[in-house]
This record gives sequence, C-alpha cells and structure tokens, in this order.
Amino acid sequence: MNSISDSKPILEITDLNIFFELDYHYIASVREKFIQAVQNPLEFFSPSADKLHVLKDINLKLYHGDRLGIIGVNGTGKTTLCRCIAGMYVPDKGTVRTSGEVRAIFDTAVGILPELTGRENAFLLSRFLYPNISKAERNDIVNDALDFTELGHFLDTPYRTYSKGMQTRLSLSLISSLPTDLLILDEVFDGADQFFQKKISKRVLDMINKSGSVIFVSHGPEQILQACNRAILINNGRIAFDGSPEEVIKLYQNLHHVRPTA
Amino acid sequence: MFRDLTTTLVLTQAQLKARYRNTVAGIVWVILNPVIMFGAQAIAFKHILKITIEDYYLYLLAGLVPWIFVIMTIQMATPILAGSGPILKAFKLNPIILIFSQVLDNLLNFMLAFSIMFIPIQMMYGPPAWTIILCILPLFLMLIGISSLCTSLSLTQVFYRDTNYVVNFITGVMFFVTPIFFTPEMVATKYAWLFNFHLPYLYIDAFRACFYHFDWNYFILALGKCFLGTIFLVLNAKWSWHRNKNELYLRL
Repeated sequence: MNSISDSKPILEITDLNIFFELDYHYIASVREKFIQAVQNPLEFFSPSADKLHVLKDINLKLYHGDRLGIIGVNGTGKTTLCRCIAGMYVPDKGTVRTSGEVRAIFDTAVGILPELTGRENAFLLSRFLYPNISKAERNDIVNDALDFTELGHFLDTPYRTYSKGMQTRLSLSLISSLPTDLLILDEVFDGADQFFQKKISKRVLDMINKSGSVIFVSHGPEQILQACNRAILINNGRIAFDGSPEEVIKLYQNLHHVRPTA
Repeated sequence: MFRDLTTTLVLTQAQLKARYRNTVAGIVWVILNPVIMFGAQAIAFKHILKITIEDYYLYLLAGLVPWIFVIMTIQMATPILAGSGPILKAFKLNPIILIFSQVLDNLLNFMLAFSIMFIPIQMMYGPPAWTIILCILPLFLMLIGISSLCTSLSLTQVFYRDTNYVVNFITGVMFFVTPIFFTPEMVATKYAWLFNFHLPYLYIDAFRACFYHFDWNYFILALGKCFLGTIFLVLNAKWSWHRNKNELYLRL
C-alpha cells in the first residue's frame, strides 16, 4: 500500500451498513395462492418486505495517492459501496466522509437526451461531470474528447442511433478528460471494442495517475494490477481482505476457484 | 443548490431543443394544442351548451391554459424517474433536477402560449395591466407546488408502475369536475367546499383571479389557499424523497 497515513484521508468510511428491502415474486398456482390467503390473510395482502443486509460494517480509509481496486463476485456490494461513497445512497448506519471533489461513473453507454446529437450530448454530459469549469475550459475539454473518440461525422447525428460501442467511446473520452480528488470508476471499460479499449486505457490510466485518489471496480485482474496500488476483496457485503492487488487477486481466485490468467 | 439550479436550466434548454427536433411545425405545436382546445371548448360550451358566464372567453382562457399546463406536466413528469434509470444510475445526478427541468420546460411553453392567446382576448375585454403582473405570485407557487406533486408522483411510479395509468385516468375525469369551463357557483353548495382541497384548481383559481374581474379580497384568499397547498405538497414530496431515496436506485 502506498498510503500516506499521516495526511488527512480523502475518504473515511466508518462502520458503514446498508440495507435494502427486497420484493419476492414467487410463482405459485391459484390453489397455492388461495391456501396462502386463507392461512394468513394479513401476510398475503400486505406482505412484509425482507431486508437484505448489503454492506456490513465497512471501515475504509483512502489517502492521496491510493489507487484502490475493488474485487468481488456479482452481487457482493461493490457498486453499492461505490454509490454510497458518491453520495447516491444514504447509509442506514455508519458514516462516509469525503474531502474534495468526488466524481463517479457507473455506466458509460448512457446519453442524456437521445434525440440530440452526440456532440450536444457530450456538452450536456460535461455539465454534469464538470460543473465548476469555465465555458472556455469546457469547450476545450469537450472538443478534445470528441477528437479522441474518432467518431467523425457521426458526432453530428442523433445519439439514439449510436451503437453501444459508440456510446461508450463518447462517454469514456469525456470522463477521462479531467482528474479529480476522488475518482470512482465502476466497470467502465465494458462495451468498448478492443482497439479503442487499448487507446482509452492509456488515457484513463493517465487520468487515474493525475487524480488524488481512485476507486476502480473491475472483473479484469490485469486492469486492477495495471491501475491500482491497493485492493480490497468484498465477499458477502464485508471487506474480506485489504492488501496489495497481487495478494487480493490471488485470494479471490483461490476463493472462487478462478483459473489465473496468463 | 446553485449548481443544481444551473444544471436544471441547462437541461431545460436542451429539453426544449430536443422536444421540437424532427417536428415539421416545431414551436408552433406549443400554441396549437391550447388554441385548438380553447377554440373547441369555447364553441361547445358557449354556443352549443349555452353556458352564460360574463366575458366567457377570458374566463375560459385564464382557466384552460394553466389547466393544460398542470395536467400535461403531471402526465409527462410522472414517468420521468422510472424512465431515467440508466442516467440516474450512471453517475451522481440529483433526480429532482430531471423533474424540475420538465416542469420548467412546460412552464415556458405555457407562458408563451398564454401570452400569444391573451393578446386578442385582452383587446376584447381589457383587464387592467397591473393585475396581470400579480400573476407572478400564483405562477411561482404553482411552479413549486406542481414540481413537488410531480416529485411525489414520479417516486410513486418507480415503486408502483400503474401510477401513471391512475394519474391519466384521474386527470381525465377531473377536467369535468373542475371549474374550468363552468364557475364554482354552478356547483351545488354541498359539494363546492371540495374545491378547497382540489390542489391543481387552487393554483388555477388564483391565476385566473389576476385576469378575470379582479378583486383584492378574492385574490388574497385564493393566494393564501395556494400557499397552504404548496406547503402541503412540498412537505409531502420531502417526506416521500427521504423515505424512498435508497430504494429508488434499487427499483430503477
């Protein structure tokens, strides 16, 4: 870990717990439903929602220079943790404290108004991603990002006509324009074609290096090894291990019997 | 707060651009809908059903155009959150911005349509200009109140996907029991008190009071009712928001 432990943390999570209410829609025959209704009418007509304990007692500190990879199988709470840090979820218990600007991206194939062109959507998206920059700076970064996409004349066609790959090119190019204090990237490379992925990886890694601290969620061990200097393994809503990316990836592969990649 | 306001205005501007792209008539649609509705209802109620209300065109215009705004806004904003799942889950964006920008978009269209339609009516009936300026007050309350109502309905739609059907049904029926083309005095006294709880009507009543036979006492009373209605709607939206904020992302 390359943490500078004597400085003020960029992120401090203390005893974080998140619960979600879950709806179950079991398939039952009319006869079974009738029996349920007769046996327990109150429960049948107003079923009590089950609580799912998504994140359990999470404690985490990130310092300037920390590039944290989050590893875990689907449904373990990686995205929920990131959304909580980004301020999208309110903790049911515990606290999440951040200092500085937090920028989080969870999906790269998304347009704000599909009727507008890719160029117009890029300017609009830049408003959401970079709200505090000047008009001149905005023009510069958007035009630079648009050049980087290599989408050419397609930039002036409606966004709704874009393929997923084109949408990803546009969003990723824009997202990787400016560094920030805490950057959260959740499986952002999904959807880009392999040629563009190589090109954008370099740009994203460059921005990761310039940012204060980074949280990087990926199922690809190579990307975690390349981008991160620290990693955590999340298992069943808890931080199971916190260490170097190599150690965490090895543990993850052993835990889930994943064959190591060459 | 300021950042959210700026984002709302930018999104409203983009929405206005997107709304009329790929349409032949473009901005003409803004006034075409209320003009056709007004023309049809004026003929049906004044000339066919022979409703006798003094200065009927002015009365109908000052009630019908804001009614169209309120109903269109509710119908358009209710499915917004449920339909914006990918955007809301992709990055941090205050969901209220999406609702507020839709309300602002419709408000601008409403004000444009009303202004254009009001000119010939003003020439016919000539309500004094200073009372017209007062309409800013009910308009402001209407903006806050309807945005809050839309927030609550849009949140409900995320959890109960049939909300939109119910809203469309209720708004369709409500037109016939709301004093838009008839006056509250035409309704039996034992039912007239219900209008005090008809929240969209409270805004329309206060707005219409600025244009139709202005009376200070009536206007202040109508504005007071609007104010109370707005407080109720804001508190209700705030409660719904805090209760459902986390679950919202899960259900989108």
